[in-house]
Amino acid sequence: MKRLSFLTRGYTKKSLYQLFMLCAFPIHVWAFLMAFRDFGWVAERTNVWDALGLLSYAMAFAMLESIGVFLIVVLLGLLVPSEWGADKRLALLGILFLIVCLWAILGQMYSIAGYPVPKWVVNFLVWTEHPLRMLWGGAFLLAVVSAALPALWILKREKAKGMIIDMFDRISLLSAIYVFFDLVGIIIIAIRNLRV
Amino acid sequence: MGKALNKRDFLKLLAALPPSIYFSKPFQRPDLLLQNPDAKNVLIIVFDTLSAKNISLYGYPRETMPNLARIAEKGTVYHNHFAGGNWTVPGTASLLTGTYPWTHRAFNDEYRTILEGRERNNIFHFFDQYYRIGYSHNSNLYPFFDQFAPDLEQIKSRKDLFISNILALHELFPHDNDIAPITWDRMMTEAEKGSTYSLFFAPFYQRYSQKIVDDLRDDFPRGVPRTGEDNYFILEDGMNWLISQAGAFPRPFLGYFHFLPPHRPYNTRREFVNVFSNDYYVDKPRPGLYASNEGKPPNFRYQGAQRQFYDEFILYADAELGRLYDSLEQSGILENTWLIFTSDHGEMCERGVFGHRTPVLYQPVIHIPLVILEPGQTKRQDVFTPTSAVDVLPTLLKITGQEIPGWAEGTVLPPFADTAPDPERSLYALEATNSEAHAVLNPATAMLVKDRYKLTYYFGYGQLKKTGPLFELYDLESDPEELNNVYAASSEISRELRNEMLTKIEEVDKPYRNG
Repeated sequence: MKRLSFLTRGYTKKSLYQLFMLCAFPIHVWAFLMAFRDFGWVAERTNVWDALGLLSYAMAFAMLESIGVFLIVVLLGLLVPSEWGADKRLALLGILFLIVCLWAILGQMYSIAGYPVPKWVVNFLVWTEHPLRMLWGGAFLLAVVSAALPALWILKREKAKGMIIDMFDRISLLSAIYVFFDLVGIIIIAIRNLRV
Repeated sequence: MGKALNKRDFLKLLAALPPSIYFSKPFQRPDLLLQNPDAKNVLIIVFDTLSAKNISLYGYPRETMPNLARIAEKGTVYHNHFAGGNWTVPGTASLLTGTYPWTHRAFNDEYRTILEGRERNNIFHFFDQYYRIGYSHNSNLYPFFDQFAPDLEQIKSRKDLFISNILALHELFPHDNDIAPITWDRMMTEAEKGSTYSLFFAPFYQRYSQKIVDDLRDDFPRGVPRTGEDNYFILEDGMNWLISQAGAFPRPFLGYFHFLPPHRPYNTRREFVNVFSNDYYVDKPRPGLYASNEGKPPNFRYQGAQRQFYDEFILYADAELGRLYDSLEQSGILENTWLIFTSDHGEMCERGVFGHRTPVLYQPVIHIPLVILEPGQTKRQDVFTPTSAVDVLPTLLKITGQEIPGWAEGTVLPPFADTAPDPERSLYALEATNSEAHAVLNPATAMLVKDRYKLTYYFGYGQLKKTGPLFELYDLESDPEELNNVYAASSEISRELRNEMLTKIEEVDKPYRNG
């Protein structure tokens, strides 16, 4: 355990648990929603048991992704000054992670909705004569603003930090439901693969 | 009892589990060799979407399959062999079950399985003393393999032979080779609308897969062969695997291996690109179709290009077939193995129709190759009697000394049958993609081949609302290109075949008439 002490420095058991649940939540919600979109055609194609299999694998893969992302977030958290408390670290990492998730989900939803790029945006990009630079610049600006403002808000206001931690408590609880689904999914996967 | 397992021991055991499962595989059926020391193996090789029309062995002017021609010198060539359907689901189901699509009912886009209760009526079921294995590049086979799972010792995952396969899903999920890879696909690769189940790992996975594919672009200037949007593969991998494994399967074995080329996209290997671009081959002009091209005249230039690309892709498939054959012959496996080479359906690049998912059942779509190599055969035989994919199952049963079940709709192929072929025998094929799987056929196209005649019956299509059902009749002997529709309600042969067809449709619809 001594070798792992550098990881637990700045984290409490509870904050690690909450951080994991926080990572698992959006990943599972998205995987669950997407898998449900495919449930119908898989059930029609073969049967409902296969469709349940699809949901189960989706949950299990989402769990693996959650673990991977959690480890990355924990490691990134070590970049945060060590004198910060566990709550402050959790609040900052958690909110930044949720913002990144939000962008990832928005990106996918945009593709799903199939909206064309508005004509005025295209015209504007053409007018600038450097459309790629403008796009990169705009994306960078959006990302910085959307991440920096909430981060600053948490760092500067104790009350904000408290609110965020409260929210994470609730998300952890919701996430536990998905972890339960994972367990059910793993049982279904085992049954499907233990055919004699 | 000894002391309880501690956490460390448990973890050690857990770590040992995957390798122990892996290494136990070759010994799954140690009884086979002892029980059947003299039984011959059966190796079925299917190339998807291979039309007999485009094969030099069957008279096509371009030399598309020199290796098949060479192989056929030691086998039996069936010159008038027909698929059961015009795409993989009905075509393969007919091949594997020995029944027509209206019997196995796997013909609908949304319901791609064999009729419940008929799952055990499959070719593998009869070979329970054999090591039975199935593989397909084409995902449409896996719902069947799943249905046939009790009759298969090994279902090899299709992803195993894809070049971007980095997860050994077949080892992780040995009995779930359909749903596990489908979910992984949806997790990591973008669907039509650009969404994945995975929020974060998918882009990295896609980039990694793309790099593997990019490394092959020099060898495949028209693009790396693929199925769907991102399942890239090269046929060489499939053949190499089969070459390496054919000698290692427990004997005797029954193997069904379904490779995608020359299915679209026609991405041939560099050495075959433009081989046929300057041969001045021009196909015969044909009438356009009511069902194709939205009533516009066919674009002959595009048609010629598509045909050239298809033919060059066939060359690639043929080269790999030749390599497989040579290797099996050198290793001596063929001395003990029946080799069956065929396809599931054809492909059409004429009359404004490109592909095979079409309401028409012209020869390019439905006339497929069949070559059977008997162990020890040294002289070629040619069979011109019309035969069908449903005949393969009874034939394999006959040549391996087994009883043919009463439900089989095919007959034993010549020259393996005890009696001469029946000239009055009727063969069928069906296209019913838009019909309900468990309802009367409507709309659909049904084909009846009897002796030299071929009747095609189109019914229930929106375009036929005003005119009613449409019949076409061709004399395949005098008009193999189907240029002259000789159907006339008054002629005796038209009337006879039409009545037979209508009676057949009535018969197969009967179970579904009252809901």
